[in-house]
Amino acid sequence: MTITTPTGPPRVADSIHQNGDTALPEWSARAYSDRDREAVLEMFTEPDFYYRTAQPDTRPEWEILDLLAEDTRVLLAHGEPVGLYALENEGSDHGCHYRLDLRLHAAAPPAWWRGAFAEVVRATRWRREVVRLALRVAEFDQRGLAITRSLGLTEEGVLTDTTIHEGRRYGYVFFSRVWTPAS
Amino acid sequence: MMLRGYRSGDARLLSGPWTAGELLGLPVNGRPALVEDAAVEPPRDAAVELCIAPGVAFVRFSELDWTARRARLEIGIQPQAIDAVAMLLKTAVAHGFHVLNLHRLYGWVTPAADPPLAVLGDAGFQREASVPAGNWLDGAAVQRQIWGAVRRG
Repeated sequence: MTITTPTGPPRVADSIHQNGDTALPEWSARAYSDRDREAVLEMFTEPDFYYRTAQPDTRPEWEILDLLAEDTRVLLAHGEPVGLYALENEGSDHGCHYRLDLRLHAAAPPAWWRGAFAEVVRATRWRREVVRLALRVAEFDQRGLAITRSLGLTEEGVLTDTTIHEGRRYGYVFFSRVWTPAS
Repeated sequence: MMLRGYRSGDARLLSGPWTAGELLGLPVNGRPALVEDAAVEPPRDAAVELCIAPGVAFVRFSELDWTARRARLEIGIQPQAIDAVAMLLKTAVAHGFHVLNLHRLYGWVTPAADPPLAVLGDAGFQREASVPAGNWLDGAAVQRQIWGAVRRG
C-alpha cells in the first residue's frame, strides 16, 4: 500500500515541521523488500533504534536483514518509511496471544508512535481475535520505555539480567494489554 | 472479458485488500490501512486452476473434485476494476462449466463484508448454508455463508 496524490505526498520532515508533535500522518505499511533497503539500513544507524537488537548501529547489513526475517513490515507515514513492526504469534495458534515489535526512527514524535501503535492494534484486531498483546522493552531503552508507558498498557514486571548493553546487564520490561475473549 | 492462464508477470494480481478466501474478493469498507493484503499462491500444479483477467483479477478454482465435478471458486478483483465484477463472475462461471466441464461451483461469502449479493444471484448462485461464527472480521466473529451454482443443461 502506498499513498499517492496528484501533487505528491508531503515529506515526512515537512509534516513534522508544519504539524508539530501531535498531528498524525496517513499511515500505510508493506512487507520489507529491496525497495526499502536503503531507508531501513539508515534507521539502524541510529544508536537507539532497538528493533530486535540492543546494538543497532554496529550491526552489519546481513544481520540487519536477518533481524527483519520474513515478518517485518515497513511502516510508512505519508508514503515514506518511518519505522518497522512485526507481530508474532506467541504459544499455541489458538491462544490469540501476540507479541509486537514496533520501532519508529528518531525523527518521529511520540504522538506518531502512539498513533502507529493504535493503528497496528486496530488493523490486527480487525482481522483476527487478539486476547493478549505483549511488548518487551529493554531497561536501557529510555525512549522506548517512556513511549510504551504512555500507551495505557499493563506494566507486568522485569525479566532481569537478560542482556548486556554498554558493559552492564539489563533486563526486559514486559507490557501487555488483554481483551475479553469472544467466547 | 477473457480469461487466460497465469504467468509470473501477473503476480501483482494475486494480492489485494480483500477478505481472504471469499467467493468475491472485493475491497471492504472501513478496512484499517495497516491490515495486510490477502493473497493466494501462484499455481504450481494441477491442484488448482488459476486464471487471470489481465490487469483486473485472478479467478481460482480449488478443491477440485473431478469425480463429482465440482470446485470452490475464489475471485480477487483489483480495487480499480470493481465495476467489472458482474461480467467477471459470469465469465468465471462459464469457464468452470464449459471449459472445465464442472457441474457445481461454490464459494464462501461473508455478509459483514457487504458483498454484492445481487451479482451472485444474477450469475446463478444461491445461498445454501449459513455458518455461525464462520469468519473473523472487524473485531468480531461473524457469520459466513456457502453460495453455490449448479450447471443446468
